[in-house]
Amino acid sequence: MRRVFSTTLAALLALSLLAGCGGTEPVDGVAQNGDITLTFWSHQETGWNEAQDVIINEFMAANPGIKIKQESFPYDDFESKTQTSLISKSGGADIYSLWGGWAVDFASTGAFSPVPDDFVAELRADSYAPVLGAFEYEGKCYGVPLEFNIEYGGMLVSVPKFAELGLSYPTTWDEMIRIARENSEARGVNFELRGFDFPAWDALTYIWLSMILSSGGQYMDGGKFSFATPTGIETMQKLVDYVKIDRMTNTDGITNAEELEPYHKFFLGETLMVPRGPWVVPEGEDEFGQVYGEDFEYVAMPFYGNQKLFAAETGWGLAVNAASANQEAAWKFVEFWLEKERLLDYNIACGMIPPVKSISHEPELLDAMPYLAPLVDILDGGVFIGYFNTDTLKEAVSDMYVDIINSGISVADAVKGLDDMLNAE
Amino acid sequence: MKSKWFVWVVLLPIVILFTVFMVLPIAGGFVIATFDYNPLRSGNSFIGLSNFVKLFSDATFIKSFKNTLMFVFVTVALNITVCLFLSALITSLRWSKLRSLFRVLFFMPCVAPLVASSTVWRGLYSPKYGLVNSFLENVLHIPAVNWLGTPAFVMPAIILFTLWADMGYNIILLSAGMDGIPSDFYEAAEMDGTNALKKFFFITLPLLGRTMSFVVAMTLISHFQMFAQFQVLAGRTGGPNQAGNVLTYYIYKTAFQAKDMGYASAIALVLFAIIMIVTLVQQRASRVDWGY
Repeated sequence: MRRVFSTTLAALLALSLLAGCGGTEPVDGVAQNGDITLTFWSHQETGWNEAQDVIINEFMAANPGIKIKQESFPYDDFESKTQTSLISKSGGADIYSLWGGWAVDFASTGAFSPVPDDFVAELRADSYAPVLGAFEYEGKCYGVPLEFNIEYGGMLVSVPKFAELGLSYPTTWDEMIRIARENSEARGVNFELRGFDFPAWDALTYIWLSMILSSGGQYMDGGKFSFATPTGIETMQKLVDYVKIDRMTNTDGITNAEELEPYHKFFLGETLMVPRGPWVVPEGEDEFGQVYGEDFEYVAMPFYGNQKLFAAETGWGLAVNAASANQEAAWKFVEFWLEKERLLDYNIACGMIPPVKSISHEPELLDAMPYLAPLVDILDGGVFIGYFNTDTLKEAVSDMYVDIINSGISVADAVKGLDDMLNAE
Repeated sequence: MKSKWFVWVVLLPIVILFTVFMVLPIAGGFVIATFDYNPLRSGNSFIGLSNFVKLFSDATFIKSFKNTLMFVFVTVALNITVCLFLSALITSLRWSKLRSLFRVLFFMPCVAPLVASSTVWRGLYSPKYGLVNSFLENVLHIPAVNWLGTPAFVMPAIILFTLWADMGYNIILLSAGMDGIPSDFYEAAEMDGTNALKKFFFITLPLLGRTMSFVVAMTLISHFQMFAQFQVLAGRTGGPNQAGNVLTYYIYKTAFQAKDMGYASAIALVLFAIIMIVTLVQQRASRVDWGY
């Protein structure tokens, strides 16, 4: 009896396991009635996901034969799942909302479906230069931009501190540095007030690149890094002096000394000016309870040189998986998303700067985000940063900068070493 | 004959497990180290021993190598010394519940995940808001230190944290070893009028040989492999001037950030070789040929 019971139990268990191998999911996303199901992956960010839901629902209402299944993951999981699926070229999603910089690694592997020709022509004509850069590979485009990612051109300023000091916001580089130098106050390793807190993962590199570009210099020469030019050395020397001699801040923002980033310290009242992308404004209001216009403002950051040029990398965008069985439907969804009104609504909902010229000056955008005003006027000066892994550059520049500050190495030698290291990779 | 079959059958699962999860990955690591291997590329070329040659001219590898040796030898030496001292103190307590209480207290940090406790300690080391600097300034009246932002202080800060986080295991093992030493030796010594210090150096320490050999070997191996606190406390650049960069962290960055799996495998094999050599030397040096 016991043996019969055990055998029956084992058989039932085996059957249940086999049943688990099957499923009701349509094969290749196509159900028996011909309906297509597309999978869309993004990372978890409440405001963004809600805005995506709106677009997905609108698309499904307009296209009854196509269903979109949205799956969002915590950022780190999303990054590893996306990259694993693209490396293996199987599974994963039909459509990804991904960071444009990742395309540098994957476009060349054939993991992405190329943007359809008629769509890409329209996109190229209307887009700002940096927003397509990382998606381009050998004359084809492998993704579409959802935003103009900008890390230069604006800075947070403390309204009460400027009022207390009886100062108005700087309009020239020299004025900005003078204000920062005269009002910074250090006590041992800590600061009572940081005048201009620029050493941060993104800000340091972008400021240096803009200093070079706005002075008429270049940091790339025929696909190779060439920072060791008179302009490159002179501008880096200035950045070093701001910390070593002028003591307007220190290197905490790039050395892991603190959990707090420079803009966090700004919102805690420790800083007069801090350069950062406009996305910090809603964070200051939501996370730190600061009131825009009363506690802080986001103003134009002056350019170092005569030309209003700055480097920018490709930000968030959409890409279609080359392994998808329903690429045509996937591109239909992407094109639907990129329709101007819809893209503008999405940009406003996510606090993004539009990637295309035709909507970046819409009054609706500035009504919703008045702090973007100093940025939308300089977007034409954006230069694509270059076709390389930008994290590698940022890490190398941060390392070099900390090395110069802490050791006796000269700026010229350090910059030469930076070129050698980056060009050897 | 029958018993031999039984032994083979019993051993087979662990042999398969060991082969699949230990031997094959090491062999695979060696093969990958001979390729310019990036998983994102469709083709990866065979480059022989070039990855190993590259190690000699890689300043970051050399710095990480030195940091690793410094971290392991300083931390292990301090760990063993402090644990011996504390274990002797705990063992000398007459009340067994008090002994248990102290063992539990010292073991508690070992229960917490290293990443979580590293994150808490990162807050403690904060230059402006951290408790460590608050103690220095307000209690000892000495200037605050930028623990994780100054090259000279990064490694001492990580060593201090590691001591706190990892002493519990060794205290348990060493005090158990001390409990196992027959009391006859101490009674005889007491009759001869020997003081506590002499008893420790001439009875406890020599008779703790087997336990010490195990504790030192395991502590050395685990410290060579430590990773979490470097990632949290030194950060993504490995601390200022790479002062907190060690081989495990460099392997991780090379493999998963730079995606240079071939070179990362070469570094991993070097680490494997170092651990093996150090362990063999240590085992040979602390060989024990007696029992009681």
